[in-house]
Amino acid sequence: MKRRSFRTYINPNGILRWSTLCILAALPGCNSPVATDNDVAMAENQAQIEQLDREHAKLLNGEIDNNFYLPKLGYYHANAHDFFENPYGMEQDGRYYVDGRWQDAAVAEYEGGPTRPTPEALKKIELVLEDEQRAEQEAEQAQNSNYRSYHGGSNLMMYWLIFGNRNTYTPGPGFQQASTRTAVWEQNLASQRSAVSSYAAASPSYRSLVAQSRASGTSIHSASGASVRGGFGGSAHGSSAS
Amino acid sequence: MIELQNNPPRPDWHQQVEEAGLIWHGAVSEPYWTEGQHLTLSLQEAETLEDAATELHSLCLEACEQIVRRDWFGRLAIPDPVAAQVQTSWMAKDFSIYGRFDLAWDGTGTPKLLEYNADTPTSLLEASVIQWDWLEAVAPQSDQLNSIHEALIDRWKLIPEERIHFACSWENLEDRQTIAYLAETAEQAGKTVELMDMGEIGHSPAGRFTGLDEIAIEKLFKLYPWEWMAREPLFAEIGQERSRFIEPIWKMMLSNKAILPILWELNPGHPLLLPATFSKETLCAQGVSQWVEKPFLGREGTGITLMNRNRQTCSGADGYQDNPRVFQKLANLFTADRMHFVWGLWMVGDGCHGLSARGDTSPITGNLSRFFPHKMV
Repeated sequence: MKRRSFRTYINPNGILRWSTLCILAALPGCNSPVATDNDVAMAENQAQIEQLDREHAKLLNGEIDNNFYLPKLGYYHANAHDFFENPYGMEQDGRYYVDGRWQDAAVAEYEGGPTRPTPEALKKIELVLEDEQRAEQEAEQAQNSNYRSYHGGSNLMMYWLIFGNRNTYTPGPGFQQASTRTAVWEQNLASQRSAVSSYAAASPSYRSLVAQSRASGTSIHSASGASVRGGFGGSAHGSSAS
Repeated sequence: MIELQNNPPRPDWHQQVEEAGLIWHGAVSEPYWTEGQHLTLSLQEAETLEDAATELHSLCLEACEQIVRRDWFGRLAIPDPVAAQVQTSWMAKDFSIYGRFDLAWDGTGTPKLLEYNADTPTSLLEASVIQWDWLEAVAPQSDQLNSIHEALIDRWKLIPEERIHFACSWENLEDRQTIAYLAETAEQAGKTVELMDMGEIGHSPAGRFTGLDEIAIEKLFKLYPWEWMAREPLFAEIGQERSRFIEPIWKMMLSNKAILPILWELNPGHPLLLPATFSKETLCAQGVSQWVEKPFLGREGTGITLMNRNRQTCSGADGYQDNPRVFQKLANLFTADRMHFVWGLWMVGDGCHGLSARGDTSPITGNLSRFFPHKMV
């Protein structure tokens, strides 16, 4: 028998300490609970609502932050005052994406503030707005409530808010029609908010997924893949301790 | 001489043990970690227990060899498809990390084997870390039979795989912290580790078990009994993946109480073994009047009954009624302050590296039995 030559060392940044902190903080899991497709859809909804709340004042003033993402439009490049399919500065195969083009030179981090979109960019928004309103009307005619709850609120409101920059752009029928619909969108947005709150209240694993997603800065992905899961673990009714 | 002694509790012991990971110490409900009492034993007494565990480990490995050679799986109630995997695993020498013998010893004569928790032993964190921290704080000049932490790190280094998954039934906090501690030692051995729930283990079309990221699992430590896995759907897919699991499936031969009569049969009269049989009558015919009835696959005292001739004197929680049973002569436990103590001897690989003790007012150690630190004087 030999006395230890060093104190039992538990790494302060190691897996045991992390597991302990998760349990003491009453987080349901240190691992990632399995996200369902509903979880993912609801998380996207929640993220859009939160984004809208966060950006509301700026958008109302017609200003957009660099790399602001709008569905069906892409990422806003503040320098170029326009939307593009990839984020500003995205790196792929040693090349960098800036203002709609790939270039070999690395891109300096954007340090400017929000900018106003060009008339051309606003025209893009208007086209999307027209499409979305058409889809919304079709869904209403078909009484497809899913459309309203998942798409009809926050996105349309964001497109509409950017219309605040109307001084430099003569609005077409898309914007003009939208001005009559804002009350409905506000209503839809309130429904979306309520749906997210109810879903989160009823699902601890969803709350955990959101908390972990915020902490890690990553989005929630569905765990559904090629593998079959759930084939072990069904016999556990308490501790396996012996 | 073995003694139960009192010591002043550390004022901040709740915080100390929780920071080290023991969050189920029971300070505000049923006490589990015992801060104000400890067991003392001499170096010679500790070595008696250590030597007993080493010897018993050899006997157990030889018993596995005999079970495989003589096809005794039916005696352990291991069904044929599972037995085939056990046999292959034993012959392939699938890698094992650790196990814990539970021994009875009152300080006189020789220790006696009560059981071998070879598949899913818990109380590891408190045996390895918490009682060592206690010793450092309370009796820094004393020693302890405890090199579990270093031994586990060294053991993980023997595995060539770089990434190891650790799985358990996630809702059980003790199990979660046990795999987290084992993962900590693997991490300190240079491995990348992942914790997961057993239900999250996937099986891909390519025939591999997968993590949530769909990447194939190289090695999986599971704190989940093989007998449970054997009746679950994915067991049918174990096949060529068998050797990726730790503890290995051959441990099913040792974590089953049927190993006790087999050991006695192979080593009759061995000083470290208690007479044990598959039938009460056979045991009584050997002149035994007080015995313990144990279900083959019982856990934490459940289903155990103490008998004096045909009169029941004590029983654990109800359970495992459908399990076959073994009958083992009643052993003398160390008793003090109206408590009965069972010694845990920790095997890492083939070596004994630690000692722990559980105490209870009942002679049957259960899931609420308290953990007592020890020191050597």
